[in-house]
Amino acid sequence: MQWDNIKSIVLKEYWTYVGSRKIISILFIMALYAVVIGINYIIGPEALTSYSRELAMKQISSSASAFGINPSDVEKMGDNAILLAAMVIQLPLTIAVFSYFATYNSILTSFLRERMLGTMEVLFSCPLDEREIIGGKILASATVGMTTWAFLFLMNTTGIETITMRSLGRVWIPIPEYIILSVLYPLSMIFLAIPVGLLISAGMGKWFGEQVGGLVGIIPLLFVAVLPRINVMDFFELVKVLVGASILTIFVLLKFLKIKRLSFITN
Amino acid sequence: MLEVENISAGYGNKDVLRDLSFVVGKNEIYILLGVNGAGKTTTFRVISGILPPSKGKVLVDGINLWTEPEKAKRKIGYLPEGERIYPDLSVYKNMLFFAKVYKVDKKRINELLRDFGLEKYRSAKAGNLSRGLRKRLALARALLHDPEILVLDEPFSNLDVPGVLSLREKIWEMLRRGKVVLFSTHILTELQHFEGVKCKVGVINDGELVLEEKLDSLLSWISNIEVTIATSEPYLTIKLLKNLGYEVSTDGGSSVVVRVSNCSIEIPKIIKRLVAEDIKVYQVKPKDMPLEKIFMRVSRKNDGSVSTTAKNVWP
Repeated sequence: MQWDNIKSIVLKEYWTYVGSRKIISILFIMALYAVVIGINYIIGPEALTSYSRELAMKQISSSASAFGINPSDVEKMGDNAILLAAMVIQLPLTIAVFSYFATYNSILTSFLRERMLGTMEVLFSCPLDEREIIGGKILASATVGMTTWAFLFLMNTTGIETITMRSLGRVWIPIPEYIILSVLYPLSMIFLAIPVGLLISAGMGKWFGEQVGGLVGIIPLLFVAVLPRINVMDFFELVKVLVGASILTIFVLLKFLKIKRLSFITN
Repeated sequence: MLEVENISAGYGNKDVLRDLSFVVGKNEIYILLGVNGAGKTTTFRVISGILPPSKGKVLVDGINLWTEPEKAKRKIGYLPEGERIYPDLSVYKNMLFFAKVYKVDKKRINELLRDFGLEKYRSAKAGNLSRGLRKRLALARALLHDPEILVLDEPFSNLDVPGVLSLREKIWEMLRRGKVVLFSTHILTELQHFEGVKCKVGVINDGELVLEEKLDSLLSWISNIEVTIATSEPYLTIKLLKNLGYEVSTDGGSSVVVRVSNCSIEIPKIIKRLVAEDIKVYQVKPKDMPLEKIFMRVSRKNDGSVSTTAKNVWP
C-alpha cells in the first residue's frame, strides 16, 4: 500500500465533496437541522408547564453534580438550568447521530457514485491497489464525520459556556459524563459507521446496498434508545467496546475486504 | 507488446469470452470488430486489468497483468466506452487526480489539454461539457502517462470532426513512437484510415475470435467490388467500358455499374477516360459496402447455417 496513492484518493474525494452540490446540500441540511434542534432546546423551557418546570428543576437540583454544577447554582440559573441539563446530557446524543450519518452517508455515497458513473472501472485500470482505494475512501469519510462532530461539539460546548458565564459568571468545567457523551460516543459512532458503510457499499452487491443501505442508518438510534436504561458509566464501557470492535473491524476490512468488482462494472 | 493467451472471462458463472488469443506487437494497431454483445468490451476489460479472467493470461511487455498488476497497468492507457469521468470535478482536476495516481508532471496535463482543445474549459465542471468534449477529456486522461499500450473502447463514437482528427493523429503519433494501439469500432470506414500501417483486424463473435487478418490484405480483398458511376451519357459509358473489357450493367437510369478488381487504381483511370470522351461524371460510389457485408457474414450467430471461419467467407 502506498501512502501517495491513498492521499490521491482522499484528495479526489474532497474535491468531489466541494464540487458536488448534492453532498454540500446534504451537509448543509444536516447542519441546519442541528441548529433547528438547538433552537428548539433553547426555547424549550419556555414551553414547559409550571408543573413540568418544577419537576425538572427538582430533578436537576437533586443530581446537580451530574450536570457539572452545584445544587445552589440551579436556583441562580433558573430556566437556564433546564437548558444546561439538556445540552449536557441530551444534545450530545444528537451530535453522535449526526456524526454517524455524516460518515455513513459519505462512504456510502462515495462508492454509490463510482458505481453510478462507472468510474470505478477506470480506477481498477489504474495502478492502484484495492486497499488503497478503500483506505482513501475511509479517510475521506472519517474526515467528514469528524468535521461534523467538531462543528456540533463546538457549537454545543460554546452554548453551555455562554449559559454558565451569563448565569453564574464562571466557566463550566466539563464533567467526565459530558466527555463520554459528546466526544467518545460520537467518535465511536464514526468508527462504527465506517465498517458498516464499507461493507454495504463495497462488499455487498448492488441490490443489497440499495435496498438495505438506508435501513442500517437506524443503528445509532438503537444506542440512543438503550442509553436512558443504563448508567452513564456502563454506557461508557459499552462505548469502549464499540470503539475497540469498530477499529478492529476497520483493520480487518482493510486487510481482507475485496471490492465486489462485478457490481461496479457497468455497461 | 501485448500477448493475450487463451483467456476466458465472464460476469458470473457463464464465460462471455472463450479461449481468446491474439498478439499485438510494437508499432501495431489491433482493431476489434464485433456486433453488440459479441465480447469486445469484455476483452478490453480483461486486458486493462478490470475484469479478472477465469482462464488464461495477459502479458504486457512480458509482465503478467494479473500477477503483477501495478507494474503492468502503468504501461496501459484505457479509454472505456462512455466517458467515465468525474462530473463534479473540473476538467483540470479530473486530469490532476490521474496525474497524481500515475505520478505524472503537471506540465503533461497542460500539454494534453492543449492538444485536445480543452484548454479553455480547464476550470469548467466536467459534467457541464458536451458529450464530445467529455470524450476528448477521457481520451486525454488515457494518454496522460504516455502508455506503451493504448486500449480504446469505441473511441470514435460521439466525437466531432476535430476530435476524430486529433485522435487519429494521436494514434499515428503513438505508432511512430513504437507503441501498441488497440481499439474497437463499429464505424467500418474508419479502418481505411489505417491502411499502410502495421494493422490487424480481429472479428469477435459470441466471445470467440472468428477472424483475424492484416488490414492491408482485407482491404485488397475488398477492392474487387462493384462501383456505380452516374454520368451524362450512360449508353456511351457502357459501350466505352465494355470496349475496355469491363463487366458492365445498368440500373436503367443514368447509373452504370462496373466491376473493378482494384478500385484505387482503376477508378481514377476510368474517370479520366470518360472525361476525355466529353462525358460528364456526376457521382462515383461503391454499389454496397463490402466491409459491412463481410463483417455481417462472419458476425452472424453460429447456428450452422453460416460458416464463421474466415477461409470461406471471402469473395
